[in-house]
Amino acid sequence: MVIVAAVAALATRWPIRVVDIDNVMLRVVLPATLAFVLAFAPRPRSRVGRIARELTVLGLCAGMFAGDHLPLMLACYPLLLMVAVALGESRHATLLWGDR
Amino acid sequence: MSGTLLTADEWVALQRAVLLAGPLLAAIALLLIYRPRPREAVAAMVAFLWQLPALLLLQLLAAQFHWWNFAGEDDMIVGLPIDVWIGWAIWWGPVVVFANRWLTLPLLVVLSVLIDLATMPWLTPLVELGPQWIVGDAVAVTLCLAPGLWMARLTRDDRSPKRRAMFHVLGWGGYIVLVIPISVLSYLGAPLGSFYHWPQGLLEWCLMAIGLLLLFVGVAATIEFARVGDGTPIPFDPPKRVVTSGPYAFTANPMQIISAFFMAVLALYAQSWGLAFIALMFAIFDSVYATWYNRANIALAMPQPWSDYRMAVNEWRLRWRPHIPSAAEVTISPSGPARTVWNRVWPALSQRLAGSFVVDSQPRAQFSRLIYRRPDAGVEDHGINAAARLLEHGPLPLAMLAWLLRFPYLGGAFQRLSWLTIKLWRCYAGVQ
Repeated sequence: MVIVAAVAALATRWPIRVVDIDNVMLRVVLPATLAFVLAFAPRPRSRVGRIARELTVLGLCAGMFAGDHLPLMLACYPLLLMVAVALGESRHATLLWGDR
Repeated sequence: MSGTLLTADEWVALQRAVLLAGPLLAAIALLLIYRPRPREAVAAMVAFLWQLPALLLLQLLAAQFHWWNFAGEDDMIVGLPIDVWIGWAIWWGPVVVFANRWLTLPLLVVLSVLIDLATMPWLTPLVELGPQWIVGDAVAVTLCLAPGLWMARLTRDDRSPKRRAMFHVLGWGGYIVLVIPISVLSYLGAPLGSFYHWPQGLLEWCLMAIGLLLLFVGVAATIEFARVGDGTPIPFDPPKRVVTSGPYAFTANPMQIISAFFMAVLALYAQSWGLAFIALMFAIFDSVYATWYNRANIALAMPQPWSDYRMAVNEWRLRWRPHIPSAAEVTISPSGPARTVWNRVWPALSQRLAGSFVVDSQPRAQFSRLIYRRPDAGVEDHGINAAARLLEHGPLPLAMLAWLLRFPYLGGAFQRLSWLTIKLWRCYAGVQ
């Protein structure tokens, strides 16, 4: 999913001019790399931790398309963690993310 | 060089991209080769987090003293390209910390300086060097690289929690007074002067006083984590026990509460909706995620102490009087000036203090004039610090006075002052 999102984000900016390469690196390659590393990071022990990780990867994928709104998305990260806690505490979460 | 194949703007863009991609690739390669243990990963993260505010402060100094200047207009914060900022923080953060497995710290610092000296003059047109740029580089090593590496080393080895806490205080201070305000105001296109100015009028002086008071309590809480809990406020390097003393005797989440309120004070001071939004995000993070984290991690690791503590101390409400469940053991010298003061003050003071005390008296040859112990809470203090611990049994204002007495360096100064007073008293009274 990260690779698909990164390719799609690069496609929306194609053709990439040399003068824009720093912009692409900051707004697409950096979030994609972080998402990729996070996706393969050791599995968090808690359910909320696992949900937070998956939502963060999703958020980073969305961030590749956010353009100048990326800092705003970063500032809203606590909302994502709030959603992770809400999902993790719900009864239905065990079906998708396990018991603990 | 820049005139042949590419335009100056294209060179700048290319250099910025390389200065981000290079450290990022190096960090990932080292991550794969190194396969860090949890504490090593935390050390790398801590070094990275140190670099962001430190490099921003360096940039402010560089702009002030004309050490260097970065070309470019987009994605800049106070003249520092954001990609260079992040790349630099990765380079002097995780990359150098991971390389510490094979190279010693002094060698890493020397190598980093040599790389800087060799590459900085070649970074045109992105970097325009001033005549004193070598001074700037020395400041960069002193302010950013060396402390970051030291902090990472202490974190990796789980040593000197007090020093680590001091670094966290400085680092967090850098985030709340530099990184966050500058980033938010730059993003909104607001002048930095709306925040960085001397107070004008009563309201701004009051806000500054409240802000300083909040920072003071936050620092006191961080120090308590280090002194009593042998840990730091960051979740990946937590204390080894449930800390129930100091500010934690009044509320369970002093640092989180203070972060959110401090941000709100900054927002009012700068009259910035952006900073108010950040304060709201802080409040959400603290009230939801931090609360869950405490419940899911501390409560699981130390269920009984945490349960007992949480029964008495609320996470978001301040108690007027502290929660002190066990008796404090107090040892006072049987004679001398400390005893004289004790005899005069203690009968009245003890009426106003919470908790119970077991007061003992032993000859002074074996110990300080005053010792305070609460073994169950991991607290033992001597001299002025012990006197401050006694005041912490009092209501909140008295406890805040106690935190001031125990404040780093200030506590030591008070201890020396008391020693000097006793010396003078002995001279005056003709006592040997």
